Amino acid sequence: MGFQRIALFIGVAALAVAAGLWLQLQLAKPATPPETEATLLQSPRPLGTVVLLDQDGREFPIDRLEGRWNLLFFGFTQCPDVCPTTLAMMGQVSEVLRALPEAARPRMVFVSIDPERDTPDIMRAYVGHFSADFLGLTGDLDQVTALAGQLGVAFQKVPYAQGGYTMDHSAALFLLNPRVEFNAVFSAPHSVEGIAGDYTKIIHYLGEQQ
Amino acid sequence: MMRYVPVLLLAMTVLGGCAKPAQPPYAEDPWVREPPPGMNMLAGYLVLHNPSATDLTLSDASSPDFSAVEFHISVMENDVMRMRQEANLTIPAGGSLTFSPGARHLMLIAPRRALASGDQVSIHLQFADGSQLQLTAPVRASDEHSHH
Repeated sequence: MGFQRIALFIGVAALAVAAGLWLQLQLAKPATPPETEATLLQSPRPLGTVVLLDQDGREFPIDRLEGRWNLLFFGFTQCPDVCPTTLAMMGQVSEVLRALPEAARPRMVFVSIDPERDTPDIMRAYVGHFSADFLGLTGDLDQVTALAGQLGVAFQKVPYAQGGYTMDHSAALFLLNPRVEFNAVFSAPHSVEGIAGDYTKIIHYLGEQQ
Repeated sequence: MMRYVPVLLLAMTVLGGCAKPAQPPYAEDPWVREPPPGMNMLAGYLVLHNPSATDLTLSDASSPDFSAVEFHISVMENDVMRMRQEANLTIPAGGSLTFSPGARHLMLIAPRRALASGDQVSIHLQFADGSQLQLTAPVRASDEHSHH
């Protein structure tokens, strides 16, 4: 199979996905919540004041996420399996959702629950590996804990017998709306199609509600 | 006596066939996830097959490319991902044992050199019965290319 045929195949596949997403946006305006694997909150929950650090080491008050949809994942950079698997998937979701109008696309945010090791420098290199568009947030443990608490994100340090530690943490994705309110939660196990499909249905539905 | 020799030889051949060492285990599609910068822990994935008629126990792993190799599993409990070390994994007779993203994996600790997509790493698997398996696994970004 030549490169051109592969490119053509990818082009056709991308068009089909784009057409599907466009149709979902154009079809009848839903009055009832969409059927999704993701759980939509009955009423969006505003977040209290939290100030984190962005990947350039600058203070990042959480209300700076305003103006766009945001998908948040909580993890840590020394996580060998689940975090890179989930972030790679979020990168692919980002690609698929390029079919949406720019204002409807989510910002992908990775929040460290291991700020002791995850400095802004480490976060910048780490999230940049998955996508240039990713935002990496870390900060003081009490601020990270405050944000996690508001979203119901559980995490815990687990020491290794031979020294060092790993982190137990929620594998869910959290949707914040453009007013920085907690709006929906996507539970693991994740798939690219599942996240992209549910996200599109949810923002369409919520867009109609406003 | 002489006329029993062919029968004896045949019997020895057949019995010898049965007594031969079991069919050795083999690995399918081993790969290591390309580490993001600064990452000291990598994950390796593969499917281990045991075509022999007896259960096989995977007891240890090592690699010249890493300080240590351990068996770990990511387990979901109440929507929380926990990673736990495992020991002595059984590969059932005629069956397989799968190491895959988000589940069981080889935890590759402290790489001895910088690793990027396209590199190859060596992994040595040790079984409880004394047998061994030497693997070469490519480093790549994700599992999406595994069947290309």
